[in-house]
Amino acid sequence: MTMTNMLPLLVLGSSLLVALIIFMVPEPRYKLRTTVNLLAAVIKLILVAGMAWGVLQGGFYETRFPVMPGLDFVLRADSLSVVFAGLSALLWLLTTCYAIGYLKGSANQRRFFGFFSFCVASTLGIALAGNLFTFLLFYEILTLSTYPLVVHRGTEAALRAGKQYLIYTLSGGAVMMLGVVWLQAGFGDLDFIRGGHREVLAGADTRVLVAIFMLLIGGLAVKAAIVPLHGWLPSAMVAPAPVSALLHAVAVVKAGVFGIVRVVYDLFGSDFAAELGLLLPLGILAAFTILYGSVRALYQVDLKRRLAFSTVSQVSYITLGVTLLGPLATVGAVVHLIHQGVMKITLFFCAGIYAETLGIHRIDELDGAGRRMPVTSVVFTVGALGMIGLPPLAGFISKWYLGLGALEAGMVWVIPVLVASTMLNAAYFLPIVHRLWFRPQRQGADWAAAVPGRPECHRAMLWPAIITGLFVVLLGLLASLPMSPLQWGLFMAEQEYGL
Amino acid sequence: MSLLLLTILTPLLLALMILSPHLRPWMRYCLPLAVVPALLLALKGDPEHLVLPFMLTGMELGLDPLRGVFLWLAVLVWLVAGAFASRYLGGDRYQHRFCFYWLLTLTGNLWLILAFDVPGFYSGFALMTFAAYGLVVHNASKEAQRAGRVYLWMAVLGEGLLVAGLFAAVSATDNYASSLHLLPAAIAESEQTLLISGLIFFGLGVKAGIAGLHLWLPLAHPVAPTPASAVLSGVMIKAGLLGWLLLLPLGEVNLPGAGLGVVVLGLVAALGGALIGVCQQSPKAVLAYSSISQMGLMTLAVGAALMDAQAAPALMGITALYALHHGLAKGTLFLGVSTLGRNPWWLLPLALPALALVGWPLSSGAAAKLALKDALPAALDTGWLLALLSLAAAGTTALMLRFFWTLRGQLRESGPRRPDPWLLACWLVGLACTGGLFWWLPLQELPALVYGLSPGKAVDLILPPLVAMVLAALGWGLLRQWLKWPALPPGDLLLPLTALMVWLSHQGHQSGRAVAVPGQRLMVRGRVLLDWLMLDRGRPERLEAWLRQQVAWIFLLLLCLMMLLALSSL
Repeated sequence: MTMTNMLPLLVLGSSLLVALIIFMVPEPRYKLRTTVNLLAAVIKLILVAGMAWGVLQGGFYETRFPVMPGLDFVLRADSLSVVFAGLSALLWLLTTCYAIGYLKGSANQRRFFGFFSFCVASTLGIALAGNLFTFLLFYEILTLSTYPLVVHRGTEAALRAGKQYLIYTLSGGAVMMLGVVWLQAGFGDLDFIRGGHREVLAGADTRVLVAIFMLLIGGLAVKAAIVPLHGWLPSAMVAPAPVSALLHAVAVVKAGVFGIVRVVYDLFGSDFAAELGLLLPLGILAAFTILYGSVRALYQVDLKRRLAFSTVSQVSYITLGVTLLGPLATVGAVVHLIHQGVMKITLFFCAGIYAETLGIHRIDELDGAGRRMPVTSVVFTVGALGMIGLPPLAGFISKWYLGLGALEAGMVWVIPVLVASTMLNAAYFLPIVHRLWFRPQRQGADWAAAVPGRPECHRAMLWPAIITGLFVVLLGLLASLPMSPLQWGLFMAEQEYGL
Repeated sequence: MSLLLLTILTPLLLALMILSPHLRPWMRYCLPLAVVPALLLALKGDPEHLVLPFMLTGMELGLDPLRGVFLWLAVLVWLVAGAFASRYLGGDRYQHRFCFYWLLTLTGNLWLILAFDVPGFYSGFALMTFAAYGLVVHNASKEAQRAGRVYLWMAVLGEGLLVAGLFAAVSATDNYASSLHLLPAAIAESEQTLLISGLIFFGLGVKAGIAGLHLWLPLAHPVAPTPASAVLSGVMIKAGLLGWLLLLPLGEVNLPGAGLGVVVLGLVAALGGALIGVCQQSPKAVLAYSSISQMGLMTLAVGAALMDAQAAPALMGITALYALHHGLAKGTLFLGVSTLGRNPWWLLPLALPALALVGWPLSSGAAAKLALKDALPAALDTGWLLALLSLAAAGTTALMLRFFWTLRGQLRESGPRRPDPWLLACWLVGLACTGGLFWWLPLQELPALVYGLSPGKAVDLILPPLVAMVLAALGWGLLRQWLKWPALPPGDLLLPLTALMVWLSHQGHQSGRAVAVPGQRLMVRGRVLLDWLMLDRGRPERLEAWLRQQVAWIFLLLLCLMMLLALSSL
């Protein structure tokens, strides 16, 4: 086998191997585990970067072997998978750092980091999956490997949320499985290819195609947290902060949306899906989710819950972008896939720092926290303003292309949705920012005093937040640099629409 | 490095001084320094262009004659106000914070002036808007908090409208180009000219304080520290005007109906601002209403340019100069509030910018007003409009009288016995800018303002203020024995709006819970209104909980159904 054949397997295999190694490292060997973790994350980042470079140069990486006749296990790197793999590799490195600081001195770290690696390995598998079967395989592994993370604390609330999570995701997986089987039985093994399989699918009964599409999307919508299947996400907030961060930014939620992107673009083909009349209802559902999530976020008093509902809303931007026909909307969707991840992980990092350092969970407890923890609060502010979509931050770039894409596609109704969502985002983020900076500290808040000369919280937690915060600024301000998400989006749109 | 880039980067980098505890105490002295590259750029004055392809979606910076006027305005006001602030903030505990927001606001303001691309302009605009929140709420009083809330929500509303307008405008260009100068023609040729222009007009109108969207203005100006009020009123509200001049299809297409609407809106602000302004209690609130009134006149000019494409180019230049004149005069008036001493003679030099605003002969205001009247298109050159403009001039006079009256009262109570020399020096520089330097600025359009002062024109200029003064004197002399001076709180329309919200919230919640001071809880009321629209806060919560419990069954049912379907199709 040549290098081009092996690379996707190597990337995936390395992270799976790390998971196994970490399981074998005994609990007290803290330093060894940390080293292995960080080393693996760095190596993976380098491998993915190399792969991305190769894809940009027109390279082709595929690992394929048959599982049974007519069913292949395919790992492949195309431009879309590189986007997702790159996001996951980068944020995994940062989140691992963060988690090391966050969990310092707590029990069950072996279990935590083992499943953590598993979770990211399956995310990578999802990114590289070359057909639906492979995708489903890793999709289910992801479900199972995140469960121990969600219930990590072992409290009653955590166990309840974990049960919710399993019920939701496993039923979703089952629904999707039926869709996959049906598709396999009816049309054979279909790889993900640019532009979809119009010629194969065109002859079939429209109702069957609609049913399959609904099954696939219905299954994916659970993880993508599309209303009314979003119920698990806010309850899963009981998980430790690094888990929530990863769950919202890369792993679970993004896996669902990524699946939707794959099904629409690379299985059905967006033109064909639109001809079947499938995209408009999905778009309307996504628009409803955007507004519903924002309105619900407005009512939350718990910081992480508010962020969770914000995720419900923001992730549907991507789905919305996918349902709009045209290159600009594709750019918007792909860019938001990355930008939303970076912004949301920033916010969760900060929420975790507040919780760990000052014991803050509710939003009204944040009064005056800016003075006590200036760096964290600056980072949080940047993330929040980015989420609103204010220029020149990352969120603006994706919103800009989504809006232009909507008009390009002739979907004028999307603009009021985007504007309303912007204002709702402002309505639930700006009060937090105001509390941080312009309110005096609450009476009776017994915060530990800052130690002069020391950083405001554990360095391993602070630096990842600072780095992602910087990314929020730079991804917007330097959006047109080569290899930036925006350039990737444009590159993909060129491929998708053959411009 | 390019001077254009340096202009924007200098204040931004100076803002980073807040990171170092050692540099922080020096921050306030850097406020005037931050404007120096901008001053050099303005002095150099050459048209310039700089493309930064890696930034945003391709950033362009540049300078042209129209932007030159606004750059000069920004430079002078920010410079003088910055020097003023460096002293004014002396004993302030939170001066670093103030300086930080000041520098960010300045960055945004300069960026939006120099931006040639749409995302760049919008970035500068947003940065300026949201950083200025820190200036408005600086003194943390209840009034400041309330003003800040109103400011923020109006700003968000404006951003929303603006971004929708920008989406539509950029979509109307060929190839989704994001250069600003392509937009007016594209909007003019689009099928949705009115809609796009409307979105942009109202989106920027929040900043410019057009009638109806001005609510934040009279609240924010009085509570902000004085140098911040000066830049708010002197420069920042002009950003809305600059946006109109750059984005609206002026000179590209005749929009008689919409243009007339804008003219009427401008007149409403010009007269209404004066009417409500004279009922204000604090000198800064009076000045804020005067700004609304003056922005009304500039709005009127923009409306006239919308009506008639032929008149537009001349009108645009004159409107920009009008903004320059008003910004300088208003900035000086604001700074005067916190400078002057207890002795009433100090009010005398303050009459200079006041007379300029009124349009007294030989002042910058007279020149701007005459040029504006000359440039009005034929359709508007009617008796009633000129009469109304004279009425507005009388209104401005009344405002200025009211300002002097309230200021005298304030100075008598709390004015310093002897003005601070540094503040006084800054203020005198501002005065010199208004009275003299204005005419010497290297601006291409300035000759358009030079006029021959004929007796007829002089009468036109002097009569309205004179009548107003006489009436005021008579009214004050005769009526004060029987009538109390009417007093309105700042924020006019906000009060009925708040009352409406309170009423609505009571419709939703029959609990009859006691309402705190109306207006202070606008934000809470807004939320309660949302509650009311969704009928019940608990409902989605319960629905979600139910869904969570039943989700497995629902899926199972769906699965069985689909399985049957699948089997039947195979």
